[in-house]
Amino acid sequence: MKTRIGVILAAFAMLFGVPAVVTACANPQPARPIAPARSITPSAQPKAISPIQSSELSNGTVTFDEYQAAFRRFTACAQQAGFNVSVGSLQYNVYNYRLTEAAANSKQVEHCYDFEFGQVDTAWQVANENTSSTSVHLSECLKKQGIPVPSTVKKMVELLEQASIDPTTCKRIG
Amino acid sequence: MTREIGKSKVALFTSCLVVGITQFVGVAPSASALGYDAWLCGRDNQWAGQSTSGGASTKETSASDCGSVKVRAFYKLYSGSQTYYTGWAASSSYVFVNPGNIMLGGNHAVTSCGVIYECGPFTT
Repeated sequence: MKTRIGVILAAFAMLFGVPAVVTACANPQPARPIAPARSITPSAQPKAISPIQSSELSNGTVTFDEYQAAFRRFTACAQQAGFNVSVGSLQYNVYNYRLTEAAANSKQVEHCYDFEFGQVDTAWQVANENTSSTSVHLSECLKKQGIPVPSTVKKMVELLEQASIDPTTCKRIG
Repeated sequence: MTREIGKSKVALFTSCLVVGITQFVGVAPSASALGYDAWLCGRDNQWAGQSTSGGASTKETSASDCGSVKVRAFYKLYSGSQTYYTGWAASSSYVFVNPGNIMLGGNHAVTSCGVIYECGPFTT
C-alpha cells in the first residue's frame, strides 16, 4: 500500500511538478526594458538553399513572380512532408499564411522554408517594407496618437519609440 | 496511530494534488508567457525580442546593426482553439495578431553579421 501511494505521488510529481518547475525556470517573467543579453553561438552550418532559389536571388532583386513561385514551392514541399499551409489572401503583396503548431515546429517544414523560400521571402519583404501591412498598422497607430506619419517604417518605429508607445499594442509603455 | 498515519497520508496526497493541479495550470500557455528577452549572437550582435497581447517584434540592439532579424507570433483564434503560427515577418520584424485573437508568444531569430549564420529562434 505504502509503495502504491509512493508510486502515485512520484508519478504525480513527475507529471506535473517537474515540467512546471522547468517551464517556470525556462520562462521567467521578463523585466522590461533591459534584460542582460545571453551569448548564443550561431548555428554552425549555413542553411542550404535550392538552386532555383539561388537563381532567384542571383541578380540582387526578387520579382513578385519569383516571390510567388518560391512561396508555391515552400507550400508544396510542406504538403509533401504531410503539413498543410493555410494560405489567406495576399496582404499588400505578401502572403498571409498560418501554420499549425505541429507544422511550425516540424524540422521538415523548417527545411522547406529555408530551402525553397526563406531568403526570397526576406528579400521581398525588405524591398517592400514601406508598403507593407506593418506600414499600414504603424501608420494607423501614429494617427491614433496624433503623431504625423512619416514615409518609412523605420522612421515610424522611431517616432513611436520616442513617444514611448509600443507599436504592437499602440499603447503607452509603463 | 493507524488513523493518524492514514490522515497524514490523505493530507499529503491532497496537498500534492493541489500543488500539482496549480502547477499544471501554470504549464498551459497563457498571456503571462508574453514578455521581453535579449541575446547575443556570436561576438557582437546583440538583439532582443518582445511579445505583447497585440503581436511580437525582434530588433538588433547593438550599434553594428548588421544582421537581419525575423519574428513570428503564435496565438489562438479564440479560447480553446488550436495554436497557430504566423509566417515569418522579415523586414521591420513586427508581426500583429487580429483583435480577438489570443497571443501566446513570439519566436525570434537573427542572422549574425555576414548573413550566413542564424541564432534562434527563441521564444518570448
